[in-house]
Amino acid sequence: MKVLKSIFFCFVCLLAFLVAGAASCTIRAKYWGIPKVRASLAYSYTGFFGEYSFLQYNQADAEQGKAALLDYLGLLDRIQNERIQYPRYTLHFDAGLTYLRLYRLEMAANKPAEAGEYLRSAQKEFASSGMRGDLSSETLAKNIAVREAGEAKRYNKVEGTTVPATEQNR
Amino acid sequence: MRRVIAFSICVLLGVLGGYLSAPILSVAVAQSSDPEMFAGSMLTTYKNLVVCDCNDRPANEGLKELSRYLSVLQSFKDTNQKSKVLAQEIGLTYVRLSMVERKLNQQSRADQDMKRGQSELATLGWKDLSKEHLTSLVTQLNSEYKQVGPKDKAASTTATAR
Repeated sequence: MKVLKSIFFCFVCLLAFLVAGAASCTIRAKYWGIPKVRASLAYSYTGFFGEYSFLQYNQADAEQGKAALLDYLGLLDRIQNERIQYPRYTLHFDAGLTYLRLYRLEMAANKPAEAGEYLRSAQKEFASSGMRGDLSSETLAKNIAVREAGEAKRYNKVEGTTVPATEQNR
Repeated sequence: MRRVIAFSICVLLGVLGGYLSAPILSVAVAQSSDPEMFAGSMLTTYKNLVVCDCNDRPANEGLKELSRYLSVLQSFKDTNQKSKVLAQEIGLTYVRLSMVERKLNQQSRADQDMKRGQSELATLGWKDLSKEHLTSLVTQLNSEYKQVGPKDKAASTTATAR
């Protein structure tokens, strides 16, 4: 009887060990580990994807550039919808910048209505990011043009001169 | 009394074991719930090591690392044929390989890899596929990886590029 009691007690201890382990593992993973890992993966992946979409926009034809930018926006949306812990400013800023690039592509394609929509979306994103300062259409349009000229200088050196991506798309 | 102590120790050990194994579970859950993001993130980390180190490393070692990275990219591409992200990365890696091979005076291999890179990037609608332009572009991209330490690079590369 004593032996049986001891075996039973060992079994209870083992069960308690497993239950306590599972509970603490689940709680820590759910509230600390998984959000942290997902945030880290998302941060790293958006960097990779962001570079891809930028290069497509900067180097490829307008159609491919637009597709890549929209895919990137989809990824940023997903991060927002799935409530992945991601810096709010970066998320909205990147979305705003992507909308501005889409605006430039639509302007180059002579589609002012679509371009205007993208510009408004960009304004919303920049406002959501908490960015202060002049977010008027004119300022944003001017800023993205200046930025694009700088990018052209860096990434599209053509015999000593530079050609902005949207100019090349024409 | 002894049994209570033994029981408590078992519970405490269980809690400790669970607490310590939570990070492993977290990675496993993240991997299974979003394999695409997981794979992309792993590739980013790998790329950061390869591209960064290739700038300073002897050309021979750089060649080996880039070849390994390329085979990893191609194995990912085999399972995800339609991925444009991977296609672009493979194209740029061929250009990087070609540049290193030229340094090593392996002219015919360099030309071959450049052509492979050009054909990958052509499928993505790239407009300027000249050797000069791609070399200049990749040199610029590599220099942005070189400007920061390996740890900060993932975050800052795209920021600089964008």
